[in-house]
Amino acid sequence: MKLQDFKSKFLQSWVQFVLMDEKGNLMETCNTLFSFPENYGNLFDEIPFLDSISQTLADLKLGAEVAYPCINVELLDFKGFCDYVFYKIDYNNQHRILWILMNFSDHYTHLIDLQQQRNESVIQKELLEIEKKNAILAGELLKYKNEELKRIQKLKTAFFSKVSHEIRTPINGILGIAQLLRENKDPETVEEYAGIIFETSKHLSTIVNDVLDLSKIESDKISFEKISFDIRSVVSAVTAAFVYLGKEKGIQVISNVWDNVPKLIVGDQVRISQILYNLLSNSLKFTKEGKISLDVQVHSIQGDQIEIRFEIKDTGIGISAENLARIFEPYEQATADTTRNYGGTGLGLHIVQQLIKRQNGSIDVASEPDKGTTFTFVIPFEISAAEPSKVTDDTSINRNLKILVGEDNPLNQKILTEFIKKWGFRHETVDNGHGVITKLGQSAFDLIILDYKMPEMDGLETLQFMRANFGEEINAIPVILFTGELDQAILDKFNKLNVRSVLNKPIEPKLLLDTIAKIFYNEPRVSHFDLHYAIEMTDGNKMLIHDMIDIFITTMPEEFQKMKELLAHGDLAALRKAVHKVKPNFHYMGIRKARKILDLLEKDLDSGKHKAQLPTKINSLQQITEAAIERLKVEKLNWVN
Amino acid sequence: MGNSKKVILLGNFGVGKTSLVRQYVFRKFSDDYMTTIGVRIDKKMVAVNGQEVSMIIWDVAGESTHQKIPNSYKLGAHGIIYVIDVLRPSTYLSIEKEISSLEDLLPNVPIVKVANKIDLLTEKERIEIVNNLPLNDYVLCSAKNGSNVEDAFNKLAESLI
Repeated sequence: MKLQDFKSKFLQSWVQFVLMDEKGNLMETCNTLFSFPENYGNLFDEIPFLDSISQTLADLKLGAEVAYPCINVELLDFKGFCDYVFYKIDYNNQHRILWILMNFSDHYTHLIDLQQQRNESVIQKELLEIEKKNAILAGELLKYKNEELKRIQKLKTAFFSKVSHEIRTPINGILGIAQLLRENKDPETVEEYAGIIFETSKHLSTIVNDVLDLSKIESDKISFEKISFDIRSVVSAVTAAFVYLGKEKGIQVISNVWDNVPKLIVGDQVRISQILYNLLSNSLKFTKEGKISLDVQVHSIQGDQIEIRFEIKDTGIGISAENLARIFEPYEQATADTTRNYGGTGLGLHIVQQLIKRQNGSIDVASEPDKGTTFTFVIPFEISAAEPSKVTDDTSINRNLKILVGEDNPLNQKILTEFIKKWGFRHETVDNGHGVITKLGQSAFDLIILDYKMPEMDGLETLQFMRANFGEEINAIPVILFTGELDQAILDKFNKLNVRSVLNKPIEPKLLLDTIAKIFYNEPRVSHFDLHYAIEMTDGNKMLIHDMIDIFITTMPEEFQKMKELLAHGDLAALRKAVHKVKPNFHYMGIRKARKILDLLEKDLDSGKHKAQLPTKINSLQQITEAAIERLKVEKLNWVN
Repeated sequence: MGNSKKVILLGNFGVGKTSLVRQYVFRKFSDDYMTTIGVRIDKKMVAVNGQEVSMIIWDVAGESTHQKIPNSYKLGAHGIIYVIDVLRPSTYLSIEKEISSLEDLLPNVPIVKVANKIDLLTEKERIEIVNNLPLNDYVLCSAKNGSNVEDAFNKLAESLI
């Protein structure tokens, strides 16, 4: 088609044609919609639309066309909607671009209104649908929550009926046996009845503690300490109890803490013990033969932040996949048979899970029926920068401790004073705060053990009176406080009054001794040794362990004396034998620090190298041994039959 | 002329394409919804790595699929911004198919995916919705408060050089 043909075809009042060369230079136009000013520049430079399609126009073949419908145009003095068509034509033997602009503003403006209505209606419909769906989801969620609430309520009711039965049965048992005790004076029967009462009370105590712990967890009143502690000591102490219990069932209980686990970490030692105790006790309950292992290793480490992974594995009855999903739910046990055959409240694992969760940890369980169960939990801790401080007091001070006990309950008084005597300490006992105040004015004490709830003047009032009226000397006496309701508010109250330790009732003698040792040694009592190997080797025989500790305490100073004499005489061959002889003793007592020096000493004596360092190494070994002996003297008291 | 780049904005109607362009080019926003028909062209000069680029932005009327849009609009495009509305799943349910079809039609043309209207979500809803979006690597934008609008266009401009 020639230009003339286009002109005759398109020349209408609503159409404009623009002829330009392939570089965008204006050649001819009809000025129907707008007029180009005289000095108007290159069209590609002046009109962004043309600029953006310049390559498309360049690529257009001769005789071909490209159309752009519905362009919103604001060009010179024209404003409206146009359809554009571009043709590449031959004009005087030159390639030219013919741009046809057709003004359809009226038509498109009318379309905008229709389109606007259509779009708004579709969008409204969509948003309405979404709202409907959300309302349905919210309804379903509410229904689920209600059902869950009903289910928990039902379980709680069933639980409380079960717990009330579980509590009443041992209480009735204890009352019955106590009645029989009053009527029977035969020593053997009395011993047997006392044993039954002890075991039944322990069982009752577990149930009550579970219920109280759960109540604290559910009311969000549980708090976690952040203090530096020795994780190996915790593992060793918890495992020791189970080695003994396992032996009675013919089950081997072993534990292992990997070498890369730091000595001291910051966290809540009591809660970690509680979790381990609960899981190990669970394993022991459900394992008839085989073994139970506790493995502790580093999960991840970043700067002073560490995650420690605890794995408790047993060869017990296992749990089916179906029941596995429910075992952490409160008031649930794997099956009804579990309750019948193994007892328990079904709260233990839920408490464990909550204790871990609230320390920002996680717990997993894997199990196969008849093969066994593995519980794995990971808890984050801080690595403690504190090293155990040196011992400042010697054991003679410790054994000569004079303790003032303020406790009104005769049974608790009896328990406390019996154990205090057993540990070799002296004591005076009063049954209220007035008595404590009077005694403090009469004689000197090294430690005060106070009950929180006492008649006339309770523990809190006593301390407030002491802090306000007594001088520095009396107020420097460390105080251990016992309470039946241990929570953060009570802890805060007593922390303000500078109480060294607040312990929960019922009285746990081992924990009390640990606390006393910690106060007077200023560090965990068992941090310098680990009796795990000795316990395993002796099958938990208390007397044997006691004797082993005793032999170590009494013979080691002599051995060092001998080693020093041999060194002074230069008799290195005999010194080598002496070192070799004492090595197993350190192994039995689990004094790891000493074992490293012993290895070095043996190596040096064998090779004849580093002779000048021998006195330093023997002195270091002696210092480590003496520090361990100080603690073993207290530990020994735990192993008296 | 010279370093000019044709950029087309695609996506369903009502997702906020025109608002994004108005915010990017004129720093303006209006809560009123005015539907776009056909195409409206705007231009913005941007400096990318010290190089000046003229972005000629084609704000194309929204459609549920780009196949309903005239092919000439897409012809010679250097880059695409594909916009979705985070509140309306219908605007992104077929996004995988759409993107794949655009990639077939315009091979090697960079596409930036923009999730608009995040100002209407809480932080929790934003995380939940973004995690459930098909595909990834969206620029989360608000044409209303201008959040990340510049970033979305700049991201495309960088890939055009």
